[in-house]
Amino acid sequence: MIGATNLHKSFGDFHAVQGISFNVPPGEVLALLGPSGAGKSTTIRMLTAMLRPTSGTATVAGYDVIREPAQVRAHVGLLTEYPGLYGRMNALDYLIFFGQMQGIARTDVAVRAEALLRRFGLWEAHRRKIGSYSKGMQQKVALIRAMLHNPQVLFLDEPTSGMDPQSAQVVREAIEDLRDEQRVIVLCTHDLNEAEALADRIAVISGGKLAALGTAAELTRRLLGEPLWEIEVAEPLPGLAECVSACVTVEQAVGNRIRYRTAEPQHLNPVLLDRLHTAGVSVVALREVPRSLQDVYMQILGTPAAAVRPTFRSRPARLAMEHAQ
Amino acid sequence: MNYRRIYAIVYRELAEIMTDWRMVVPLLTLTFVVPSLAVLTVLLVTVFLHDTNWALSLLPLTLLLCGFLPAGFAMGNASESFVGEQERKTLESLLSTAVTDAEIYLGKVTAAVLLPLTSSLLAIATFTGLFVLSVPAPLVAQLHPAMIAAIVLLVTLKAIVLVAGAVLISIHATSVRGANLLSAFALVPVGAMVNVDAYLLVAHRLDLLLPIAVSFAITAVLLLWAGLSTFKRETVLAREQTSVRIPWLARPVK
Repeated sequence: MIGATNLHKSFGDFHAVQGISFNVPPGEVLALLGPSGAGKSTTIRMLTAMLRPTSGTATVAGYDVIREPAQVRAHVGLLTEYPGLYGRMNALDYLIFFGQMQGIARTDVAVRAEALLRRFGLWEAHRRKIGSYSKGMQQKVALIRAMLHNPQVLFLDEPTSGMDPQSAQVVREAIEDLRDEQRVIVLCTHDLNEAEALADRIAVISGGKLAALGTAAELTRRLLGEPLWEIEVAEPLPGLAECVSACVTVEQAVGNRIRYRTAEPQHLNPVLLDRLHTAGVSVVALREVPRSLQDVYMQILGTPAAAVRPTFRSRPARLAMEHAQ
Repeated sequence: MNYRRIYAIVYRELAEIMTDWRMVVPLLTLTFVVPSLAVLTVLLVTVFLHDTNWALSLLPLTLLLCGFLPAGFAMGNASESFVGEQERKTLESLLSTAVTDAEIYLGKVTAAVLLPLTSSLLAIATFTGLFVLSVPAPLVAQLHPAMIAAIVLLVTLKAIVLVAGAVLISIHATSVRGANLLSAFALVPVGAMVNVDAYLLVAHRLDLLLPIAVSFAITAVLLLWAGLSTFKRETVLAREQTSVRIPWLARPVK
């Protein structure tokens, strides 16, 4: 559905995008991450046929962005970084106008606009001027505008920005529905939790180049190593690390906790528990240390997160642990 | 070329202006109140001061000004047609649709021309109507149809030149303030030409007005063509990434 090969875009001496290549098949959500000014917007503008690549090629929804730009724009939906709405128009008239810009007959677009306004809970306010809407409502109108012509490919820049949690959930569900309909969604966001929750794959752009591409699990393993496991015992034991060192290489031993890495926990962890049980050690918990997409992201951008970060604990638990140490 | 899309853009642009009282009130004032005051002035001069010569000598200039003022005011709206949308962040969503560059330009320029032209012609009609209804018959006879036709033609061409120029400036400007300043600068020579037109009308030199009208028509066509050929999504969006480099500007001078 999207195929970009060695895309470059220069503005004079400034090279905004330098050789980005990726493919996105139907039914996939790709999260495009990267710091501000990394080249995400320029990449999206090239893929939506608004900017012509300096070099390289791309096909979107089966159309070439250089040779068939009008066809590309007719088959993609773009939610821009800023909602960019005409504040003096009411929502229905606004959507009808944009439907006409996409070449849909006025009567058809009115029916579709009503259905989408109802779906996003805006039908009651459809006669109000958009300028009087809250930020979240405006963001919803902008999202409806992107979906109005039933595009095969959607580029969504910060789709839940400014929304209350309930509205954000409605938008996330809409994105999941679109994926189920085998549409391609490119999600441009700074919300790493949202990217992790919604995206099938993640692409990180930095300095105009594709710094990383893969699933969250692939990127985590590639950049942060094998999964990290933690055993917590009832009381601090001086010889705890030595007790398990025959089975694993202990990465960290602090107080009543030890941490180690393994790619085969299904085999290793039972053996380890047996050994501790035999040694008379009371195991309180055995868990995988969660590694967030933020750690991966920071690693990619050259700001490595702390190799081992304590897992989240409630304040009383934290105080108890500090007291024990 | 999809004419429905052009029509939709024209309709939206006009609706946007006509729902803004900051545009509507001055336009209505310039269209109806100013011509009415001009006729009143002519009446006061002729009826109370018994000076018909003075009134007649000023008649072409007054009529030209009545037509020119709304066009000049509406130029401010034309000068922000593109750069204003860009500043308000509404242009990108329009550029992301299937509408072509030419359709966007033609829609915006048509709306920008229609408003001042309608306003100018209405102002001329208001002045003429009130003049015919209120001043003594001998004076009305001085308002020749040929003169009115010439004024309508000149005002129409000036309005198109002003608006086409303002839209062209708007395409290439980086801020509304800059676009307005440049447009205001363009208003000066066109305004000066109003005086020349009025002088030639008083002197009954309609033969000299023809080349002026032709030159304005050519200028209007050139400006419209320049706008049509230079408005490109690429140019507008790429401008966000580039900036004016003073040494580069000075290079040809060295």
